[in-house]
Amino acid sequence: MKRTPHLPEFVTLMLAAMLGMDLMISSANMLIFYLSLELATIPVAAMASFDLEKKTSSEGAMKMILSSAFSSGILLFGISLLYGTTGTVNLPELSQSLNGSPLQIMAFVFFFAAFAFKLSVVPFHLWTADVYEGSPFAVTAFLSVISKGAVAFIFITMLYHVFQPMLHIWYMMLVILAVLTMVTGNLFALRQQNIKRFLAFSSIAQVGFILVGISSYGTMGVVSATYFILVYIFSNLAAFGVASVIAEKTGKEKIDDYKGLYQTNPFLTWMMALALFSLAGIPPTAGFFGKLFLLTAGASRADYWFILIAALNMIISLYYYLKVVRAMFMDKNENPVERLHTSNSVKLGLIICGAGIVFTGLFSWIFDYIKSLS
Amino acid sequence: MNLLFLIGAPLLTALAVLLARSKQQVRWISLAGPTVQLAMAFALFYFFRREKAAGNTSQVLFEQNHKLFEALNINFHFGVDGIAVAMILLTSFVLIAGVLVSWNVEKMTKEFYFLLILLALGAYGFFISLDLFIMFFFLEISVIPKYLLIGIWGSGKKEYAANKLALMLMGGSALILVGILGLYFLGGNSFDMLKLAKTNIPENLQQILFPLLFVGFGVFTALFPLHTWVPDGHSSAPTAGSMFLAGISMKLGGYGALRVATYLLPEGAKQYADIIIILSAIAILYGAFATMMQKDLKYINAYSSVSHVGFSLLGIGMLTQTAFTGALMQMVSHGVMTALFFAVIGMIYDRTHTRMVAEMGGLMKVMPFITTVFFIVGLCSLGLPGLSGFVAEMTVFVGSWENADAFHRIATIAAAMSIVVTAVYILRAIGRTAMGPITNESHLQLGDARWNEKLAAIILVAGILAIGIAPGWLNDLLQPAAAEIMNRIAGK
Amino acid sequence: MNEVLVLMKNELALTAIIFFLLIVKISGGMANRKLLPVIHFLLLLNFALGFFFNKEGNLFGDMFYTTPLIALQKHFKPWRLSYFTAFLRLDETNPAPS
Repeated sequence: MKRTPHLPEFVTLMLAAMLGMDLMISSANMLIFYLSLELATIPVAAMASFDLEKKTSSEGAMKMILSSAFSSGILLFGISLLYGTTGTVNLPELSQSLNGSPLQIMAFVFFFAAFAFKLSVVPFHLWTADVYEGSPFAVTAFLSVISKGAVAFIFITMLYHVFQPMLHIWYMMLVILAVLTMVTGNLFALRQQNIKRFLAFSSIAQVGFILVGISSYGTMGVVSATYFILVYIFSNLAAFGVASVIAEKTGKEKIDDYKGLYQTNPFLTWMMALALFSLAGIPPTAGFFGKLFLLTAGASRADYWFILIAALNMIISLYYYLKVVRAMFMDKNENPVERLHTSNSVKLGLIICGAGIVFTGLFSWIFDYIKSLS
Repeated sequence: MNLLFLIGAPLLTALAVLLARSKQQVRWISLAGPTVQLAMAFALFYFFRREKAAGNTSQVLFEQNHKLFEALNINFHFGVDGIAVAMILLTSFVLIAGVLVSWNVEKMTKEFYFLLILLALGAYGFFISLDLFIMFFFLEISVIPKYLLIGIWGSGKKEYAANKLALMLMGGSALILVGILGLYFLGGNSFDMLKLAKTNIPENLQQILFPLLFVGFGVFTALFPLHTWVPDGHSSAPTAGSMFLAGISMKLGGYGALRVATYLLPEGAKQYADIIIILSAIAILYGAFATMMQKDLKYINAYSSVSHVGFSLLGIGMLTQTAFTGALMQMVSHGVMTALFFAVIGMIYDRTHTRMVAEMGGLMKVMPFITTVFFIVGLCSLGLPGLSGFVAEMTVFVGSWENADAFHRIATIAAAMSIVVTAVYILRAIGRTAMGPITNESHLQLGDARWNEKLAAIILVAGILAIGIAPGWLNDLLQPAAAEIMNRIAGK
Repeated sequence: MNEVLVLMKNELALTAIIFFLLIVKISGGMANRKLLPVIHFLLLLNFALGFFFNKEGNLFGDMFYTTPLIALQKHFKPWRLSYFTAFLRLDETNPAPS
């Protein structure tokens, strides 16, 4: 980035997207919500095509803008149906005038589908992998972590406060979609060779876990999802950080290229391993607590089959995370990635993430603090 | 005595290992840490006995409760009963012996010791916690160190074995997790074991939760159809890794199966006791016969572990107080014995570079110390009176015989038959390797045990003899705790 | 007016940084080497701001509302922090479209 002449534009776009997300979480009106959602999406599409030399970058941006335009259209349709049946776009009034009539259910389904697009919930996930693979690393990290977190928060607010009268409907939808998302994300992640696509599919599976937590409907749902997203940000950023350092310096993005990494770059390897363990939910990393609290929240509805499926999915996910760990620590390689010089700012960034991964879990007051706010 | 020291000491040791500069420093630090832990385990034992002798009848001693995750009612609730004290002693014995026998690890020494001590940390934490969530946390901590130990320092099909082990144990954890969450909501949002023991859980829910918890812990302790990670994992692991896996990690499962599944869900245990007996009897016999077919020393001990650990599950399934005591004794005894067995195999392998029985012979002449220890541990394994194996297995059989019906009798007899098979394979293996002429000329130059190996062997042999000759102290520890569990099953 | 400043502090701070960047760009630009530390500093300020003035309230006739939890979700937790860390790496990670 030091060399690019477009740094101010890039940062401006990123900040604009963040502004959109902030407004989106705070919005109490469907129209403000729609506008801010667009503000949060369109700059990201511009950012995705920032790698002008690569064809895949523009391709990813194109896919992203098309799919998000499509989902925005669906969302707008849902909103207009809601307005038609209730006569208001203010969220507090909306929740009072919802009565579960078929038209409103249809509106809700559209609404839900639009959110599913943004969160890349299966079966609306098809854009994710291509976009992630094509975009520059910084944008991929932004997309997979930050924008997903924001959408998840507003999703929770909508479900809990606005569509509360339709609880029994969205609970079933959430359960089915959560199972589908976890299983599909995990099964596809098994077969990926490119580290970006791998992280993309693993992030789909993680969204499935977030849905498990959301399905609980109660303060635990909000709190555990907020906490998990915090943890997830640290873990995923650390993983993307290491992957991007390696890709930037050597151009290697395949998992096979990571073989024997420990011999040459122990620091990066440990950071990557820590991040992957956290994503897999292995103690003492914070990911363990995050996942467990999501499952605890989900279990409060006493659907043990659902929780069992989620818990078994943790095994599949462990398998593919261990694949990377194995490549880094155990496999031998004729020409591994050479010893990389990482600048201090990179080290600092990774250490902040690493400290976050370890201490967010062990410092239990962080969780209690979130709980006290809700 | 403050139980937090038991977690603090390994933690400090692990950090000190990370900061050490040379390999020699790493070795001495990681010897010093476990020595302190051994001393602390003895101190714990001493204080525990003193408290008990002074007439303290509370179920757990040295209780501590620190708030953690207040919002979810998760607490650092610690305390030990007799079982935990015995297991902590076992862990510290095996840990120090493991550190000593791996003195010559040259590949990534620092990481090796770091992971080994992390494993011990998980075990200590598991045994002292009374909060199911914290217990689960410590149980899970040990999965990744095991994976890396096998995968990096192992031999043979190490990556396959490491993967299999990690995934199967994770599967067990998944089942345990669901079981624990079920208990949490049934017990009024509490993970506290003492509190859960006082709540009445509806019988139909116990029938659902018990298999989840028991099978989950059963994976860790090689419950019959789920034992397949044991042979691969144990035989591929480095020496200290196998010692720890067989000596401690399998006991985590046994302890959980008894202390969590059976104790908290007595009605479920009654329902499924027969199935447990059948499965463990199969495991005992199958393990023994499978061992007969093995040619690799490590596989021999791995399969015989399946058979021996079957006795502790059999004891749990019998649901009598004596049988419980026997099951627990078998856990401790097998822990020491199998650790010593793997240590000896490791010593032999370091010298001969083969573990195949057929390629060895007459080792008695070149390494008298090692073969003598090999004899002792072999005899302990086949249940010679005076050594720990006899005491434990005998107690299990006596306890089993208290059930007067035909089913239990047949299962007991079937299990007892395995002792004959054990004698066959142990004597054959020892005879082929230690006795007779030296078959391989190159073995003539081999040396005997070095100081570190001698020390490790002596420590573990002392453990075997202490249980075998004077089992009273162990019985005093385990009996009251077993009685407590039995009371709950009898519904008192 | 005062209330707007407090409740919308995140949004206003972001807008201020955006305007700052626009002015930099219009006035002929700055070398990236110099600009990056400035951006980091501004984001750090923004991050620090999230610890203060988290109140509950709504604006513009209920079109915008915020609570401490929302402020946390917006600010301290997720993106500012991660964003700041992500930015520390930007100079290394982003490929250069020359």
